[in-house]
Amino acid sequence: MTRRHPYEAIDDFQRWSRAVTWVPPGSFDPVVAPRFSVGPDDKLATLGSCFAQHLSRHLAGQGFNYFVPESAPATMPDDEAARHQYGTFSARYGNVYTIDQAVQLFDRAEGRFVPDDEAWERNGRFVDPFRPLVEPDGFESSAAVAADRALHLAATRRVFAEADVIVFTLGLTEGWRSRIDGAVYPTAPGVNGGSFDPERHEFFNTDVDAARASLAAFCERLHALNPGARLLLTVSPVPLIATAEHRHVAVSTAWSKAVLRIAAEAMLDRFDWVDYFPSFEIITMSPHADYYAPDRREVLPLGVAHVMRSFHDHYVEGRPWRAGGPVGSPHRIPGGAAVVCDEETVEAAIRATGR
Amino acid sequence: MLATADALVTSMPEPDVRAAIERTASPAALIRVPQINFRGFHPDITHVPLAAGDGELFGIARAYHSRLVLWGWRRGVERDRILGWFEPDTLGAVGYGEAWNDAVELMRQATAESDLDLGDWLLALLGRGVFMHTDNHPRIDAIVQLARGVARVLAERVPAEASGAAGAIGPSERRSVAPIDEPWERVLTDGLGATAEIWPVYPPIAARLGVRGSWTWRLADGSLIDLAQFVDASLAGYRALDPRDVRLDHIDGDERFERELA
Repeated sequence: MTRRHPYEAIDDFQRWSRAVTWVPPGSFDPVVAPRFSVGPDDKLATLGSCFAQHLSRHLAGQGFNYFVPESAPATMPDDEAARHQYGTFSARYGNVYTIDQAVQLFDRAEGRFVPDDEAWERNGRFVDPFRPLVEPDGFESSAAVAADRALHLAATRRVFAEADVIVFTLGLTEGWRSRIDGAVYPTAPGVNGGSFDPERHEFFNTDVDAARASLAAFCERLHALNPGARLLLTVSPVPLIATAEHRHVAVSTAWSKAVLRIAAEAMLDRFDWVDYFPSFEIITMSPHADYYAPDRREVLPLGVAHVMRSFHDHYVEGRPWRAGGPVGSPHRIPGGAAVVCDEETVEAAIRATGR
Repeated sequence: MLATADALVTSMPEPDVRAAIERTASPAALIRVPQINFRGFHPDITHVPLAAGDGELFGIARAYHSRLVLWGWRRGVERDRILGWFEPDTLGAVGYGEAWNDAVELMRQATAESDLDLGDWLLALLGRGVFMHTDNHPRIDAIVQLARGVARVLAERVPAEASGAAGAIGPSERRSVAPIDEPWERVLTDGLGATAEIWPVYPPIAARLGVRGSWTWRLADGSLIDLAQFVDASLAGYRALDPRDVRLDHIDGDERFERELA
């Protein structure tokens, strides 16, 4: 007689041999029970780390209703629009790497938080400390920074208030913030403008309790403003480009991704309109595939295609996935341009110091 | 030779081999290895037997033919329309997306009738990208991995006193000294890769398999041709052919082709 045990009735996806070892190359599919789907009329918005841009491009290329309330002026050529990050995300907020950054972006869009930092000087011009790369040549004055920021935050509010589905890719736990008012920057002061002042700026690394609390705060704010919105959380598979902790960057990467992953999972328990999409797992654990570029950080197009195929198969209503994304988008998306990654300027800043 | 052999490693049909061993009163241990036929990367490849005799039709890529081009030729489809079939939707509709699982199942059956283990062979290769040049020409690492399996079985089965190349040492000692796991694929020449055809993994299929694809055929003489050249050269060869001289039942009888391409 066969002995009974608690694993006798588990599904194939619960068994490594069935779900990983023997799956055909490219067919690893860790999505099990999606909580919602995306319809052709749903307004779909994106924010997050650099990896989130792959999703933006895919959505636009596949003819989704990619919601971009901060569009480029009609007279701006496509390459200029891309250079100014129009369409890179739903609004020109640049990379939103940390959860605290997202919470503050929400509060700034709602007018609840006005950071003390208004503009940073860079090469005789001025940039927005909270999105220093969206205007690559800088603004001519701090007043111009403020004026453009007003338009930007109005568009950002529309993203949060009107989107039906928001895809938020969690990227980092490490960041830099103001000691004055806690305002969180996407990159450290001095990297893309301004200058680092230990009296005014400090490093932080969100631990798991703080990450859970902060992400819950973001979810609660979003739901209060837009009760019908669905939130799809992902964790970026892109490792840290540098860690400010005095430990190996790989150890910091594992720590950071684990914290973000736990925070995302905690939201599933609290909010039935939040789901988690395992892009991190697809890139890092796909059997028989190596989806990282030679620098072991950038994700190769094959890996992105795998992620998008899985997303499409499970979350998209009634439209088969197609390689190459032949359907055009009404928005101008920087399809051919490199992925915009504010974090990479950290490496450039380190090299500029001669190291 | 068989009469004095310690082992016979073969992929020939077992009844024939058993008969030969008995006929020669050979003491050889029989090690059965599977023939490697794996269409997972190249589901469009087919072979065309001649109607008379045992031969097969040779085309631009010698014994390897495209099912799509053959089907188009048989139905008189014009060249440009055939070229248009090499895109994701059509390749999926004719079943090429399921080819991987079918190929694994066929290899599972083949290894079940052998003395080797499918997992030992296949799982070691999956992280190495496209390990087949064509449906029946393995890359050198696929051959080396098969040889590793053979070596392990030999170490278990060939008697300690056997006089073969391993010398008169016991099986356990042989296992420990046999350099089975050395990276032989790095020092051995890939003969098939150097001298025979290399069929591309079509990009829509490659994308599904997480490998890089191409539309470049490498012919046996070393020349490289693209998809249009391949289709043109294939059709030119077929036009000179009387369809009654070849057997194409395996293509004519495929309902998916009829449904999707007709």
